[in-house]
Amino acid sequence: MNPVRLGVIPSLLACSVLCFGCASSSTEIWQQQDRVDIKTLAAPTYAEDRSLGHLQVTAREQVQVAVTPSERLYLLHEDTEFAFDWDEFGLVFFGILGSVVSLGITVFLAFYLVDSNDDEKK
Amino acid sequence: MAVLLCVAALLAAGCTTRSWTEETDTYRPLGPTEQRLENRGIADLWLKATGPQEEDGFHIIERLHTNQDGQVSMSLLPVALQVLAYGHDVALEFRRLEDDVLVLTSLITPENAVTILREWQVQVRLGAKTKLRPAEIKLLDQLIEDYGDETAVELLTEIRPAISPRMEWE
Repeated sequence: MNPVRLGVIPSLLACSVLCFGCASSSTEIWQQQDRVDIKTLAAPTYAEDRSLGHLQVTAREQVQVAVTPSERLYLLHEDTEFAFDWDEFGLVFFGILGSVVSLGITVFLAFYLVDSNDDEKK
Repeated sequence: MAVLLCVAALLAAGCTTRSWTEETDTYRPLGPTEQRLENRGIADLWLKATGPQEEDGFHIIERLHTNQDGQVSMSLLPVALQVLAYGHDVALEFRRLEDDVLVLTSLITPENAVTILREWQVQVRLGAKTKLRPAEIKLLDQLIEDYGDETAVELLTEIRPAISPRMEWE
């Protein structure tokens, strides 16, 4: 067997094995975001106000707000996985097969039928 | 054929990359902490306003939701109608829906009821429209027909055209 042809299938298999590889990584990203801590100091209060035929109730609470200028850590994860698309496989397989068959028919028509007709005329 | 299959498989196979960002609770301080006291409105709070139930089953129930400033508003017209129709004060109770705790009580007296009708009369003259439940509209119509106080009847008569029925789901 031709040594070039011998190497084709193993090399294709090797290429496909490369596609099966999976990888994951995570990157640290620090973004400017103030840290805000809110602490409720007292029970909520409710006040009413009547005007224009309506009753308005307002709920309020006293809170202590602590704001610290800071950076927050975000993790950017990236996962790479092998994927196989059967639809795409079918399209490629039958596309190539169709091309080969149509090329064969063209060659058959051009070099066999047309040539033999020319021979008959002569 | 085997080569064709391999080529098709190779072209169809590939790598999928997905990426996502995870938010952590880790902070890196950049400066000193500033503290301040705030008296802020409680947003997204659900309240239930209920009035006393009458013998014939008439009952005011409203579910209210506070806005960003912690405020809710409800029309006092149905309460005024209940006060005038049944002849007694009506205490509106506001309870938090999450734990059913009574947070506020508002008392409407017959004097308040007439004031509310006057305010609604002004609103109606300015073009305001409002909706009432069928039971409340029935109460209003009965008051226009039977109520003894002429001033109140005049106010109610003027308010009546601005009222349309309120659906169950509203």
